[in-house]
Amino acid sequence: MKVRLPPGRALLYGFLLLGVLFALLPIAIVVVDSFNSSSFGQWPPPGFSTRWYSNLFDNGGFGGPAVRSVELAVAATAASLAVGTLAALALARYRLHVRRPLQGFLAAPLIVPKVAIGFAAFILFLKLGWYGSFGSLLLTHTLITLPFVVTLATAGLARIDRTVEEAATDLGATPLQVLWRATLPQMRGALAAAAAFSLIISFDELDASIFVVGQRSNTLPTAMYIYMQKYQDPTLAALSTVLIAASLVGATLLAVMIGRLGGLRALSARTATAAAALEDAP
Amino acid sequence: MTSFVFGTAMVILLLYSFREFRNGTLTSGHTTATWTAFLTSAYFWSVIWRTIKLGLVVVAVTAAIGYPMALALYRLRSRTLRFIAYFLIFAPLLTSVVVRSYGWALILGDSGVINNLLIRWHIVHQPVRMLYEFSGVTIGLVHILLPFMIFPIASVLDQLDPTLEQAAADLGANAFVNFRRVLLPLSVQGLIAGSQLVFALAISAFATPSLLGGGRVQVLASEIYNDVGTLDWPDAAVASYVLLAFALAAIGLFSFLLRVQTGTARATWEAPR
Repeated sequence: MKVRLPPGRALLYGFLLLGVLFALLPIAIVVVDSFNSSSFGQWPPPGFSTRWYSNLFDNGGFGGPAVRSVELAVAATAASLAVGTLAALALARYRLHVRRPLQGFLAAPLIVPKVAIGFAAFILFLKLGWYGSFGSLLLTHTLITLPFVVTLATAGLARIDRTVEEAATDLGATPLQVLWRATLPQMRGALAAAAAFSLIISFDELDASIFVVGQRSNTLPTAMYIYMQKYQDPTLAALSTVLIAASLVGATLLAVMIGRLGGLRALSARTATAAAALEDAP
Repeated sequence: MTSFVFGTAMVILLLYSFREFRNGTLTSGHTTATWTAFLTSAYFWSVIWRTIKLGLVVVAVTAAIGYPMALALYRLRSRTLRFIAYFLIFAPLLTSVVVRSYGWALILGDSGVINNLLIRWHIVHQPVRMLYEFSGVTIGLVHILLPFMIFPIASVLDQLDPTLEQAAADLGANAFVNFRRVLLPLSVQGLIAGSQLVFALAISAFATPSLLGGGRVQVLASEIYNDVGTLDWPDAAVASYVLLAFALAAIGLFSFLLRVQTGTARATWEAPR
């Protein structure tokens, strides 16, 4: 069966295809290059080799940073979920005098450039004597992921059915039980999306982290950044390929999970609310 | 706690901008010397101008590529194809910025993919320099920020009432008129929101300009990093606040445009004709 497209439409679809190819191009090249036998990324690859993978696992020095990045992403996500959900609840449910300033303050790390946050945090932690500690990284990452959690949690909170909470209260639930059994379960889609955002942002964070990490506390992105400035051999491509494979698995899991929890609606409402938050901020 | 850390850190940063770095040490006492030196230096204005130019060019290119892509996504009838296209456009966001910059370094380098093809096809004889040039940084940033342009436009288009287009078609509008008079005015909001996001992210981007610029394409963010390396904290503090000022100004400007646009759109629709 042949479907005839109007020429304008065909052009549009062709453009979309080109755009998608553009989006995938550098990633595809990195994967191919990880098997390049040349040590300076010569193109086309003169031969096939897996030595960059053995180099990566034997003496790449990325093991420690990788573990640190995972721990950091999980810890920062847990912290910003806890703080962000409570902040969203406080903002939505109570008539606070400090509501506008608080909103602005929570959204501020979105607007202040990451390098400025990182540099400011670097000076502060140096003065406090925390420089290079895991705690200092955790604080920085929580600060950066918090606005996303607050935004998504607020969006999720706006959509819940409050009669469920009222029913719970009428049935004798304490406020804490209401929160845990009636409010939070209804927000789980938005919270799952917030957790996903937070994990990804923290795991990839470079601009602020590069100022805060000490010499012995590199995260994976900062270690990769420093490696790329020094060597540029395909060990980085091998590491990238491993990360790409991991993120594909992660993305698939995420898509399934978000689909199941109905978080996609919260995600698409995100732009609107983020724009609103940006406008409120100054 | 985190807000406290953030607030304190930003205040300390402001204090540092009123100190001076001279002969390898921080001078004591407060002075506006660093601010004056910064704002009267031709070098820093060239860095500031390069940063703004990068932001503007990246916004223009992502809008030119992103708008038709968002429109095509909106037009795709098959839900499966649409899902796949969305997935492929947003999947790169899951890979590290360093990974993507590294990929572009391989593509744009003097012996990279593009130059290899250009030379083999006898289009050029000398490799075209793109890596460690403004053009290379622009290409890398366009790639990284494209999803941030597509997403707001696509979500605005998705919320449109499909009967609007039908009504226009019934009234005799062809595809072009329909686009020009119905879709475009209604989706300008998404375009403005996307531009706001992309501009703010582009002027404060650090990794891509620094990795694909190789120290030859200095922007405010990489300037701050270098100053910290050379211990010139007051200078880095001033640069941070200049960058913040531009980010705020841009966000304010785009928010204003958004408000004006929403106002005129409403007026056009509500006005009796």
